[in-house]
Amino acid sequence: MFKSFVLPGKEHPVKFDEEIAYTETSKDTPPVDGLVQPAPGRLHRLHGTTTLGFVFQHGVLIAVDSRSTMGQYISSQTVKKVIEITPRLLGTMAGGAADCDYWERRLARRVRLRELESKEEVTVAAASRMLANMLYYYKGMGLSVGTMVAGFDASGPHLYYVDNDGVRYHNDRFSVGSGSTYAYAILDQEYRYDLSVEEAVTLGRRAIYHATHRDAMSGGFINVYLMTEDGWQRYPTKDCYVEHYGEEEPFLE
Amino acid sequence: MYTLEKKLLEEPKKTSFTYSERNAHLLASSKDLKKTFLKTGTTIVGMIFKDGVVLAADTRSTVDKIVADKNCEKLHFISENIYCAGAGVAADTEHITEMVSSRLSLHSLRSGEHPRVVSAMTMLKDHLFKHMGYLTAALILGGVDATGPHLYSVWPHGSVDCLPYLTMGSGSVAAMSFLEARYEDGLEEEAAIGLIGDAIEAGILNDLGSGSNVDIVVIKKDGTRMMRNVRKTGTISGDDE
Amino acid sequence: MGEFSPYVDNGGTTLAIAGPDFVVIAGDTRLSTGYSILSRDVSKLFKYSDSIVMASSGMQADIAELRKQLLFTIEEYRVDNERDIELDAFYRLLATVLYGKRFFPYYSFNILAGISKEGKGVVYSYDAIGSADARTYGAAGSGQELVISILDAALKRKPDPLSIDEAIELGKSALKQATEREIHTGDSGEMYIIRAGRPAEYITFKLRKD
Repeated sequence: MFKSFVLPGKEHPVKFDEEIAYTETSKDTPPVDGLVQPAPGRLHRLHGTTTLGFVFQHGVLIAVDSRSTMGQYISSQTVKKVIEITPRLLGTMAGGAADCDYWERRLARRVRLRELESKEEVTVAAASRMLANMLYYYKGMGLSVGTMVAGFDASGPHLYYVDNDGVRYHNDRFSVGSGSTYAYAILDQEYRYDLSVEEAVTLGRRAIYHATHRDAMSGGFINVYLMTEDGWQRYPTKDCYVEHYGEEEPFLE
Repeated sequence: MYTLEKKLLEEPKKTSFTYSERNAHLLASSKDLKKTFLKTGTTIVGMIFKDGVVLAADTRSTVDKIVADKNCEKLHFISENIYCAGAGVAADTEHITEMVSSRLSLHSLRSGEHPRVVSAMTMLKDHLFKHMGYLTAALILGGVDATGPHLYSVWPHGSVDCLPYLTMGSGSVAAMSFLEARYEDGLEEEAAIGLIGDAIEAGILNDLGSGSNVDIVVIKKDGTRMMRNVRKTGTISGDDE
Repeated sequence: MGEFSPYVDNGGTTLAIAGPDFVVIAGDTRLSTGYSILSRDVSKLFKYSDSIVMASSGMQADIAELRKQLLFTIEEYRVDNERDIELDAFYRLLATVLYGKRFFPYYSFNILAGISKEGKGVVYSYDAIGSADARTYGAAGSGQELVISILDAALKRKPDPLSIDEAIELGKSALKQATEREIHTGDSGEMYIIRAGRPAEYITFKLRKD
């Protein structure tokens, strides 16, 4: 498994990441007349994000923004930051887009194979543990993953936080990403276990919207997923811009 | 750092280059600062011909990889009989040539004669030498005075070359290839204009820092002829223009 | 001094625009380093099948290697499955191949254009390590910021559906505008026009050479 990734010679991948691949312009090579143009910071994508999830009486609610940035440049406003692992498992995306995408897809494959083998649904606890173990294996290699694994299994709704350190926490609510502190402010104040579905969706959207308002690296659209016993369902996507300015767009028309 | 701070506090209130130490530090550590100067990644050429001197330049100015001005002027007026082509940081070349121009005009009003090219050259090199290369100006100075046609190149640190044909800027190698191939002593005016145009065109096409059009100035004993946009090399290679 | 410096930026701009039943994908043909032009005629587009074209900018050597790996893999796919690869599979393949070099990335920025199984035009835009998303239009390379602004302005809130002629003209003009202001883009442009159920059509157009 380790050998399947190409490594940059003797360099440690993290050193390589920091010094060559992801720096703005490498060192002092002037862009003017230097023959070798070093890699400008164009290799990384999606570092600012706001995602949140919470468990309540009807299941788990997930809300995320959709902006993807490469330094100052907004590389996309329509990123899908919720990854559909199985009909009863969802993962969220914060940190490096490719890292989250790849490892959660890989998790989806492992979960599916395990289910076909054992003819039993994989629990949220097991799935999140698989992901945490995979990430722990690569600990210190420079992966950037901050994810929530949300699901519904025989024991009810669950929400786990897993990141690239190999950490795995179980709790009733989390928010991950650069805008998470803003989202927590709303979430912690208004969260209750006995929220109705409608209240939960509104709370999720409100918390993300306020985070996108204060955090320049978060924005775009708000995507909401509700996980119940019958599996996940997606709620209509809302534009942060419209949330703020209303349906009429003041300076475009 | 302490000594620098102390130096800054002690510095009298006049234009100084005390900050150059700090700027060099910032340039080395920051990625963004060095990109914000307007640079004329440039092709400039100067040549002596039968009746005088001819200077030429392209018209592109860039900030990093973006073209800031598609038709700027790099041939700077010094006096009626002297012009100066500039490469480097736009602000430096413009201000230095302007300063020399005004000083020379006072000088010639006092003496009642056209200024001499050596005077301009001496002012430029003294000024640049004083500032130890912190002014990024690479200049080709040409003109005709009482002693005949003269052509000099002045480098950012204050050194000077005196040659019958010269190129400078990022496109200098491309331009020089034409001059080396076709330059000869005592060229006729038309031939000189043709050659210098081809040399700039080589810079425009082969050097990414140079582009757009060719400007030429012909300085002869009996007068100066400034020709803006003699060739529009950049646009004619496109589809519709 | 003697520092490991494996990357060179060879510049260039690419873009793609999708419509209801077509997609166009274009790029310039200049290859450069720093202030020098290495070639005026190196293609950034690569056709993998009648309905799949990839546009790559970044470092030419990495792009060549990436194309080779992809060709190798889709040939294997053809032999194993006895059919050509479809766009949705190719989209995942490219992401996986790029991620395979997560710790030593290919210095390449790719856009994938093709026709989906449903007959719709699709554009996928990738980062260097294989994060991808489906879009209706995208741009990459040294003129990315310039081109994407033009496409945003023209397409973001366009009331009527985009026609194929509009898309072709927009693609050409966006590349021309980028050439005006971005020094690593120029020489000539090329474009694949892919319509549902028809083999991709190839056209070229002139750009500034300065």
